[in-house]
Amino acid sequence: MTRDAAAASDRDAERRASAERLLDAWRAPSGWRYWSEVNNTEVGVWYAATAFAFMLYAGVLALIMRTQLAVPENDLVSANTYNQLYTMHGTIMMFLFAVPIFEALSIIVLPNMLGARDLPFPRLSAYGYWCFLIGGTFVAGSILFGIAPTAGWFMYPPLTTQQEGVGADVWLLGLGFIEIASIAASVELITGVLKCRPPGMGIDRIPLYAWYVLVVGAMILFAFPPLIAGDLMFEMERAFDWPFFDVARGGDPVLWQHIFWIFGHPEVYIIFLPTIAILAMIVPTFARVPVVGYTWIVLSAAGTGFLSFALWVHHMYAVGLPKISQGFASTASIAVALPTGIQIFAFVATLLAGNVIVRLPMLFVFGCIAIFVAGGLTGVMVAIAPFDWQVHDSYFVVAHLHYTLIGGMGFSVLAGVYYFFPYFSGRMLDERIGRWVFWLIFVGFNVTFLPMHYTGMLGMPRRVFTYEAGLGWETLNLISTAGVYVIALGLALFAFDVFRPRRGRPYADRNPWNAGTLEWLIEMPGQPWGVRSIPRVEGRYPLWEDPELIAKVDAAEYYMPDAPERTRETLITSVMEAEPMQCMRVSGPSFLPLIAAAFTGTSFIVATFHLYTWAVITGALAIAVILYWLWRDTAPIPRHDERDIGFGVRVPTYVSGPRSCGWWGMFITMLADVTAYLTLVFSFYYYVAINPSADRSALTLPFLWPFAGLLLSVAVAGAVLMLRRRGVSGPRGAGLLTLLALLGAVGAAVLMVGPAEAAIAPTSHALAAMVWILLGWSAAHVGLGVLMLLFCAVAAVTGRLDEKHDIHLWNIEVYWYFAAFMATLSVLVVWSLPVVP
Amino acid sequence: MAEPSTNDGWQRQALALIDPRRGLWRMLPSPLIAAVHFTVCYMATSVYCIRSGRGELTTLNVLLGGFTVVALLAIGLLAWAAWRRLHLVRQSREGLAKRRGEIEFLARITWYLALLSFVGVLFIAAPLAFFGGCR
Repeated sequence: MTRDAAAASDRDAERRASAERLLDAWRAPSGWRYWSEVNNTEVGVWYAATAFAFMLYAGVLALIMRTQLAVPENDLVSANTYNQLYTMHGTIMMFLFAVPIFEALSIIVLPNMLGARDLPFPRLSAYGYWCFLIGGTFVAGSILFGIAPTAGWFMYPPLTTQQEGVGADVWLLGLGFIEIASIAASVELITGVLKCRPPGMGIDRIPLYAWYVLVVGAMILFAFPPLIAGDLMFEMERAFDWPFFDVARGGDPVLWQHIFWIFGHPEVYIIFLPTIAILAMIVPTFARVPVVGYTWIVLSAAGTGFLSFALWVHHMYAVGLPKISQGFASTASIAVALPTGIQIFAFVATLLAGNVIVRLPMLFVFGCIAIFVAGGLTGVMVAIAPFDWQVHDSYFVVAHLHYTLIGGMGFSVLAGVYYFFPYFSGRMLDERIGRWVFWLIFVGFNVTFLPMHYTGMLGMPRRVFTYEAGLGWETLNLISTAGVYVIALGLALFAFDVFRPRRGRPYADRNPWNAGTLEWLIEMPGQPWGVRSIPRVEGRYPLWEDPELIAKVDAAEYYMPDAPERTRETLITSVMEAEPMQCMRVSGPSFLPLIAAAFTGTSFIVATFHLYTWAVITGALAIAVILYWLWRDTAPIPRHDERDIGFGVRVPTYVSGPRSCGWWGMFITMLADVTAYLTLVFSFYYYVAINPSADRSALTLPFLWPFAGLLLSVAVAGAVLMLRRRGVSGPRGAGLLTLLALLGAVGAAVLMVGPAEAAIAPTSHALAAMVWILLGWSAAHVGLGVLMLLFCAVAAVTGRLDEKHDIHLWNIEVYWYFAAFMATLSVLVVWSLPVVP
Repeated sequence: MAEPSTNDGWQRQALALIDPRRGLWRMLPSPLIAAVHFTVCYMATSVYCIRSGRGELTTLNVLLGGFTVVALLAIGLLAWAAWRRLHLVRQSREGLAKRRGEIEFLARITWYLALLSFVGVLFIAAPLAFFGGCR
């Protein structure tokens, strides 16, 4: 044997050994322990399958509704059941399918698109998933017991605040819980896009999908929290009679509409943008050219994200707001057509620039563009207030929203499933069945919804359980009902093709569509490690630019081809130019997220039935489990300070502060948190504005207590900053942290003394309730900060926190800034109430 | 335009303008101005309409019109700076080779976003010109 051959065989042996170690680290547990997996591949697939199941369920509800409406004066279901049906159909489709399917798909494909092994907080994804499953099943299942909400998916008070039964509580608590899961997913995805890219993937080379994920993640942070604040107010009114939406006591039901739609309209774009993102990946692949106008598409994603927050009032044209307010919403709604149009034109230009191959995913893309453009155009029509007054709450609106949602979202998700199916299963879906699926759904969709425009013009209102004969609606309704069965047939065929067993069938070729982006490095079938080695990227379509890339990645010629300690690790890079910064340990399989979610879910569910003691107990258990999870393996101190990731590049294994993912996770979470809080502040001034003649002297707070609370929380935040700068370790550090925790606890307590001493009754007036809720929110945050300080104290005394390993301290420092800010603002806002004009 | 590499001051100025460390946030000011403009216009007219018992908007409209002009000027200035930055990035060769793609992309997206924000402010301001009252 020559020396070269011997060296080559050594290299082979080493490569096999490293592959073995890598597989050891990433292999999913087997048997019942499989459900403890937290890796993006498994969790993403569960997420997608669950969301799909909810979609089918809501689809069945739609079938029942359409059957009821097939002929006039039908009595298939009662009015009450029908109300439950449409409420649940809308709620499930929006909250349990449309948003989660984006999170699911992103959790599956995003890491591989970025050449990462996993996202930075795998257990958070798992926790989010289990929350979604538990909350979703609870909400969706309520209709089987006849206790589902009946007031439509936007739950307008005063109907809903005064309704008997638990329907509205099911909606509020179930969905509040799922919103938390969405925010968790968005924290994960934003941090993933910013910090987990492969070396060389500067911000000008990020796949468009990831840009959309970034924009949508940011939108979730600012759109969902207002609804969480609204839900809180709403549930306080239902459970404890705090009169936020009661006109007789200074409340206003219209405020709920504002809050709901400040969430609800961005929500439409939160649903729509990720699916356009799927198009942005599919179109270049089948046009065989890089996407035309990359920067323009990023612009339109970001621009749509911004503008979508200015449109909410266009859902409220018929409320009677001043015309000028309607005017602002109207022009903003028309303006948003600009960035939306830019995206569509960029795709059309890409198609024109390339040689398009019409495979299945492309067929669905064409369907999507055609239907969505039609929906977009009726959107511009209803953006014009006088037109909207004519068709408001009629079937025209039903037609419009289904054209945008099924066109913009349904078809592109189907396109995405056909496109990515080999990615997550290793096999292709059947081309012939797929064409049947497409044509059945496409034709069925138009047969169902096109006539509805006209039904609406003829005056048929939405949400009626039946109608009289002789109004000219019969034929149109019958056609719509026939169409919906065609869609159902198409979806059944699709489900059959997706879920039928495929054992023994051949795997797809590597990179079966000849795409240019990194997710197609995946092996067929995919390996648990995601990528064998993490490549250096030189352009936007690495697989097209370097035809040898797949072979080189497989041959472990790039970064991190090994897991020397047999633990899961992923590469963290810098935000702008994606240079390696850290080799981060990510956590492996654990049942803790599942257990924590089960307790969190139970807490919300028992609260629905007013079993508050149990809600508090299970809530406390959830917090205990989460603390244990944080304790056990969050940011463990690594055995080695540095790690060689290949090519002689050595990166640290432990970083803290703004360079770490944990810090960003905390910062992003707090942005969402402070948004919810600012919604409460906004509501406070809203009540001030609509109650000019209210007697506010009864709401005068004593000076001492609120300001003592303010000073203490600011002082603790400042002290945390000083401690972090100076470094903390050992019993002495633990002592200091405990002292701060005590000060914080006193601060939280005295914040609440003011309204108690002034004997402000929260049930007396909306403003009085606001005083309690603002101070209560702040005190709860300061209290949570106390828990964090105690956690750090224990970490210091057990040697897990010292001058060099201070990530926990950095993270709670960010938290305390926000907590102190909220306490300060609350005190100032509430205390100055008597003097505000 | 002079050859940039021959002019030290010019080069320094260019690098200062395109300092990548502040890059990603650079995208945000103009859409944020547009957002503030929208919020102020919406809130001011709403509060006025509630408190005045749906009176006339004449003075407020003039004030908001003035505010619109200020917002447009600010966004215009940002657009001009972004355009200039883009121009400088394309001109300069030294010291940037490695980061050129990222910086050019950011300058470009900042410029586009400023343009979109400018148009957005114009759209939002349109009702001010057409509605005199609160009805």
